[in-house]
Amino acid sequence: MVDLSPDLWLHILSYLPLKALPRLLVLSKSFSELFHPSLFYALKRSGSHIKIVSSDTTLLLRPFAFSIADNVISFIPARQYRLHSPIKVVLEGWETDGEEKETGGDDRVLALEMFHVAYREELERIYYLEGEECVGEVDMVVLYDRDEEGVVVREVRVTPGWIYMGLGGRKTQVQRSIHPNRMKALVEVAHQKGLTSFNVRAEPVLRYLVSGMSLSKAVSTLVEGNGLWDRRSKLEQACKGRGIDASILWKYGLAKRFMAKKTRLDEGELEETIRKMVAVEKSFNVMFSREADGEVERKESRSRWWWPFRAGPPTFGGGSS
Amino acid sequence: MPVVLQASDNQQFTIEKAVAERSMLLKNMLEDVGEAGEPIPLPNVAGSILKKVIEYCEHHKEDPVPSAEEDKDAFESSRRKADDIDEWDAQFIKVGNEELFEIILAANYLDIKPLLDLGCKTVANMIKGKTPEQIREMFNIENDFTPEEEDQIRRENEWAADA
Repeated sequence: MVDLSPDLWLHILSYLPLKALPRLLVLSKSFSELFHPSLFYALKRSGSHIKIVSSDTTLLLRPFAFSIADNVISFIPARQYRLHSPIKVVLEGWETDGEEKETGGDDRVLALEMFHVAYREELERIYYLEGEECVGEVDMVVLYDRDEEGVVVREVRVTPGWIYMGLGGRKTQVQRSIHPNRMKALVEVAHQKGLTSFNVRAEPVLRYLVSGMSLSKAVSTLVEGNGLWDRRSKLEQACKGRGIDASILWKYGLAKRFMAKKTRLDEGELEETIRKMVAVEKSFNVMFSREADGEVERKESRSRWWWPFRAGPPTFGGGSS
Repeated sequence: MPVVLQASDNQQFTIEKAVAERSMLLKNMLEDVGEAGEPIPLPNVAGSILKKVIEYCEHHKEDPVPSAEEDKDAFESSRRKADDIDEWDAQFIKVGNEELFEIILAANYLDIKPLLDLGCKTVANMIKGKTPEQIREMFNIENDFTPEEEDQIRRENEWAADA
C-alpha cells in the first residue's frame, strides 16, 4: 500500500461516496480488507441511517459496529420507540437513488410504466413482527424485544450486499448471508437430517444466525416444521416455477394481501394470485416491446422519473399461464 | 515568545507560538516542557514539508480550535463532505502526489486535524470516478491477486458490480 498506514487510508476512504467503495475490493488484497471498515466509516461520515417505517412512526438507526468475518454491519436505534407491525426497513438514500430516464407522455402508458418500471423491491418489502425476537432476510435481520405495548428494536444487522441492493447494485441469485459460517453449518446439518431445503427467512434460522439459538434446536425446529415454509416463500417458489423473477412480488397489492394472511394456505388462492400477476406482467412486456420498437406513439412533452433497473424491466423465463 | 522547530534535515523554522499551537502535538509539548527556547526536533518531517505545514498553520492561526466534542469521533466531524474545501485550502493543497502524502503523514504526526482532513479529502476527490486500474496507476498500487483470486472476489461480490 502506498506509504500510508491502513488507518490513514480508512480516513481517506471514509470521504468517498458509498458507490465508489466496491472498487476497493479488486484493487489489491490490502485494499480489499479495507472495504468493510471503509463502508462502515463512510456510512458514519455521511450520517446514513437505516429507517424502520411503521404505520405510526419512523425509527432511525445509526451505524454502530462492523464485523468482516460475520459479513455484518450493525445499526442501533438513535432513540427508542415502540413499533407496531407491519414495518418496512430501508436505508436512507435508497429512495432517491437510481438513474433518470425519460418516458412517454401518454398518460395510460406512463401510468403503466410507472407501475412496472418505477417499482423497486427493496422499497416495498413488508415485514410482520410476529416472531419472538427477530424478522428479516438472510442479509438483513431486525432484532427486537417484545412487550404488551409493542416491539422495541434493539439492532439491525445487514450485509454490504443489502446496503448496495438499493444503491444500484446488481441483484444476484444468491444472497450472501450475514454470519455466513453459521449459515453454512446450518445448511450442512439440515442436509444430514434429510432437510434438503428450507425457508431461510424462518425465525429459527434467523434466531440461530443472530441471537444464540443453538444449531441443534434450529435444525430440529426446521425438521419438525418441514422447513417452515410460509406464504411468501410459497409464492416465491410458485413464481420461480413459472419462470418469473420472484422480486416482482411486492409490486402487487394482491400478492401483498396474500402474504399478509394468517389463514392456512389455499392452493387455489395461490394459483389465482400467480395467474393474475403473470397476466399483468406479460401484458406489460408486450407493451414495452412495442414501445421499444417505436409502435407506441410518444408525445412531445416528456416527463422525467427514476429508472431503477440497470438491466431493463422485469423479464419472463418462458413460463405459461 | 517564538518557537523554533527543527526538521529531519536540520532546517530550522522560527514561528509564533499561536502558529505552533495549531499542532496538538506541539501544543502539548509546549505545555509540558514550557518555553525553553530550545529548537523542538521533528525527526519525522522534512524541511520542505514542514515549511508547507507552517504555511497552512499561519493562514489558519485565527481559526477556532475544534472542540473536544467535535474531535471525539474523527468520522463524525462537522465538515463531512470531501468537496467541502475552501478556496485557499484548495490552492494550498495543489501539490504532487508524493508531497500530498508527505503532508498527510506530517499532519497526522503533528496532530493537525484540519490539515489531515484537507489532505484526506483531496486524495478521496482524486479517487472519485476512477476505475480500479486508474486508481492503481495513480497511487502505484500493485494488483497482488492471482487471476483465480480476482475471479473469486468478483463472483463473491457480484452485488457490487453495477453499484
